[in-house]
Amino acid sequence: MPGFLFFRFSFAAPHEGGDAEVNETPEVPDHGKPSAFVSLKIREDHGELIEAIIAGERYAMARAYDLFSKPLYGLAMRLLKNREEAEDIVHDVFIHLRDHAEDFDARRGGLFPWLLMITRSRVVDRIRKTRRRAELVAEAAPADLGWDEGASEPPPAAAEGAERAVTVRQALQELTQEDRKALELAYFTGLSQPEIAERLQEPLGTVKSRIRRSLLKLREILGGRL
Amino acid sequence: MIDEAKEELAALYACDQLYDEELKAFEADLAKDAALRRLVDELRAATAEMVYETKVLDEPSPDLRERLISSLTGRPRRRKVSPKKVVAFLFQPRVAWGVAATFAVFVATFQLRFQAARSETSMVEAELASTAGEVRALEQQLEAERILGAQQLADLRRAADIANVKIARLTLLAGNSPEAVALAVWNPLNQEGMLTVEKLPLLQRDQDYQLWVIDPQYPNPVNGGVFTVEDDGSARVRFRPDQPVAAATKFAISRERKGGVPKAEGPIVAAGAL
Repeated sequence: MPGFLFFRFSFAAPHEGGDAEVNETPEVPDHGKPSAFVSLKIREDHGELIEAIIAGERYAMARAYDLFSKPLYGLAMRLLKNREEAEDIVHDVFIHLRDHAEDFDARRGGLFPWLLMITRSRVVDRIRKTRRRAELVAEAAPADLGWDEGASEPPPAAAEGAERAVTVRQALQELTQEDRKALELAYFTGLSQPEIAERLQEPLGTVKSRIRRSLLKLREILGGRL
Repeated sequence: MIDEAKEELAALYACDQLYDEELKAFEADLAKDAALRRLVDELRAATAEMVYETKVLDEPSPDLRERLISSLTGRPRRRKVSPKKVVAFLFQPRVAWGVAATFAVFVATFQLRFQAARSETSMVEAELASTAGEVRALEQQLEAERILGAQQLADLRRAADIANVKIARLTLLAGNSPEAVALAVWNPLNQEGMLTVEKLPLLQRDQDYQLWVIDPQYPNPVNGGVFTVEDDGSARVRFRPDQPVAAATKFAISRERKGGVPKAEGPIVAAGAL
C-alpha cells in the first residue's frame, strides 16, 4: 500500500480535543490544480483514516474533508448547478461518513469511490425529486471537464499525482469522441439513458454500448497503469 | 464469465443509469455473483479516477468545513456492527446473540403456525381479541421461556444474561410480504439487542432499513441503526441504540434513504411492542 507511509506520517501525534488540531491541516491536494501534491491513491482504503473517524478523532474528519470535499463538491455542483444544494450534499455525505464510517467495506474498493457513490446517489435522488429537473435536463451539458489539459505533458519527476492525472487524461483521450460524449452525459448530467439517446440522436442500444465500451476501456487502461 | 449484456448493465449501474425493475433485477444478480460485484467495483473505481481528475470549477465555502468539524464532539463513538460485520460475528465463538435470535425466529415461526391453526375457530379468535394484550404478553413470555430452555447452551446463558432479555415480534405493515418475520431481542441491561428479519422486501440501492426503539422518555424514536437485507430478505444485526434506553416499549423498522436519518421520515414497514 504505497500511501501507507504517507498517512502514518500525516496522523502522527494527533492532539486530544480543542480546536488546534482542526486547524492543523495536513498537506492537501490542491484540486484546482490537480497533480502537483496529490499523494494518495484513489483506490486506497484509507484504513487508518477510517479507524480514526470511527474513534471520533476530529483531525481525521478534517483530513477526509480536505482530501475529498473538492471533487465531491465539484461533481455535485456540475449536476445541480446550485452552490447551496451542492454544499448541502457534501455536508450530508461527510455527516454520513462521520456516523457510518464502520459501514465502509474496504473489500469493495477505496474510500473515495465509496464517498463518490454516496454523493452521486444523493445528487441523482435530489434531481429526480426537484422541481428544477426539467430545467436541469434542458441545460444538461457537461461544462469543460478539463480532461484535455496536459494529457501529453510528461509527468514531473516524483510527482505521483501528476503522473496519475496524465494517465487518466490519456486514458480518456483513447476513447472515441462519441463514446466519451455518451459517458460524459451519463455521469456528469442528470440525463437518463433515453434522454442521452435523444440528445445524441442515436438509438438507445447504441448509447448503452458506448457507455459500456467507455467504462470497460477506462477500467482496462487505468487498472493496468495505476 | 460475464457476458456483454451483464457488462452493459454493470456499466450503466456504475453510472447510476438503472432504474426500477431493471435496477432491482440487476441488484439481485449482483448479490449472487461475486465476479459481477468485482466488475462493478472496478468500474466504479474507474469512474472515481475520472471524477478526481475532472476540473473543479468552484470550491465549497470555507465555513462548510468549519460547520462540519465543529459538529464533531471529539468523543469516540460507540461502534455499531454493520450487517457485513455481523456475518463475521456469527462465526465467532461468541454467538450467543445469534443463537438467541435463531431460537426466537424458530419459536416465532412455530407460533405463527400455531396461531394460524387456532384462528380457524371463531371462539379462540374472540378470546384472543378480548384479551389481546394479555395474550401478547403471554406469547412473549412463552418465547422467553422457550429461549430460557435453550439455555442448555451455557455460553448463551453467560453472554446474553437471558433472564433479562425481552423479545418483540414485529408485525409487517406493508402487507406485501405475508411470510416476513421480524424479531427484536433486547437486553436492557447492556443496552444491546439482536434484530433478525426474514423475507423482508428487498430495498432499492439508495435505501436502507432503519430500526427505531420507542422509549417514552424521548419525544422521538431512538435510532437503532441501519441495515440492509440479503437477497432472500434476511438479515441478522446486532444493534445498540444511539441514546440510553430506559424503557423500550416498542420497536419499529422504517425504510429510509441510504445511511439512515436522524428522525424517521420513510414508511414504517414493521412494528411491535415488547
